[in-house]
Amino acid sequence: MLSDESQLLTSDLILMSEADYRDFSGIPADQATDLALRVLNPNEYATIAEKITRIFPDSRPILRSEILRTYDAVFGWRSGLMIVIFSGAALAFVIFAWDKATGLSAEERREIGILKAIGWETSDILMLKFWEGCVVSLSAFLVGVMLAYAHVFLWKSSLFAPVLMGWSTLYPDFRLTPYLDFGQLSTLFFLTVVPYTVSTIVPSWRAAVIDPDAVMR
Amino acid sequence: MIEVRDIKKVFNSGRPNQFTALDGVTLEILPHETTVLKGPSGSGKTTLLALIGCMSRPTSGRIFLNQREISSLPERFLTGIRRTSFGFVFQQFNLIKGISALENVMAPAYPTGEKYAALRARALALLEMFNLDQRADAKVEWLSGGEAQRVAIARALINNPSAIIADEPTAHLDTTLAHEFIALMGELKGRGTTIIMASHDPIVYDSELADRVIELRDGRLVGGKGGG
Repeated sequence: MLSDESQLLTSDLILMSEADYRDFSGIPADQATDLALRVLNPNEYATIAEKITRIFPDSRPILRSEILRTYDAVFGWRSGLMIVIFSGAALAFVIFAWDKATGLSAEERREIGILKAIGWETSDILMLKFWEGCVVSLSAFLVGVMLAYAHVFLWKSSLFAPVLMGWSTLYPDFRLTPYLDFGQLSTLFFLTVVPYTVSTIVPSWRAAVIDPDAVMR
Repeated sequence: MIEVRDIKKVFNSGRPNQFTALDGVTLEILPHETTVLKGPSGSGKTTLLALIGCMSRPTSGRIFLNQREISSLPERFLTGIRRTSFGFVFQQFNLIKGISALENVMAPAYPTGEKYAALRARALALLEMFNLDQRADAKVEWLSGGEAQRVAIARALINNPSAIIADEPTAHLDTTLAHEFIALMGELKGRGTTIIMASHDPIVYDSELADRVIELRDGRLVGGKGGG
């Protein structure tokens, strides 16, 4: 009745007819746990809920808008948590790239000065720094992708699953089919590897145009 | 032969902190000889070495290397001459930290595109020549002062230069190591390498190695020993 794809939401759900349920649980025909009430005029919702509370003090009327607000709060919190984690990772990347882009350390400047002094051209140094940036960012990208793959498909998203799978007491058997979205991967590549490589080249170029005799002064 | 004609080098030209490092220097440096530039700090020795070694251009005057004027060449050509004609030994050794002695020795030859295996073999032969073959894979920060200097000399020789330029080479060495350095330079001189050094260390300019001592003061030549 319920497809496999819906197990994240329906793993603790059993669907049966009213008669079967009353037979199963022993609730008499004149009693119910929940009653759904349809009201045609939306302006009347609050008034009717108030009247129900007055007539049946033990009841607890819940409006559809209240349910939606509760779900929104619950799932908003979850997406918020994911945004916080993503923001942390993105911020770390930006700080790292910014640090590279805004300048070189004294040691790196010294190295570039030495290379110029011993006969390297500016273009040789830029080529070296380009490959250095490529190796660092490509390695980081590949290691990150492999760790992410292993995390999701081998370790069943052990870090994020408790947050993403909800508060259900019956956790679904959550088997994800290994799948790589090359569109997403290439987007991630162009948003990380390319900016990082470029950010390493610019300060190196600024340092590489210094006079080679700088190391002798 | 290196010929320097009426060289002037001005730093920060037109600014309040303008400084004339060299003022009308003319000299000749003969091949296969050892020339020592002597003088106090700020006399212009290092500036003159940098100009002779194609690291910078003079403000005025001309420099000739084997009758070819090099002082007006563009940066790219100067780099080419620097790479093929000169080997540099710096005051602070200026080895690149984090990589091995062998990689430091190979570094000047990387842009030439020489095959790695051949380059490595040449670098190892140089390290062996300086009794450093056991330290080839050691990171340079692990080397003693004397070892670091010998690595610096090996690096200066990797591109088979016709001249070695050394700036205050004994400034960070004790007396024993300074004499060792002079002996190494003597060996190189014996193989026909031209040696140009700047130093105010008597161990250097009073040594038998020095064929010619040129004294500088306030950016001008004031005298010296030897021919020329």
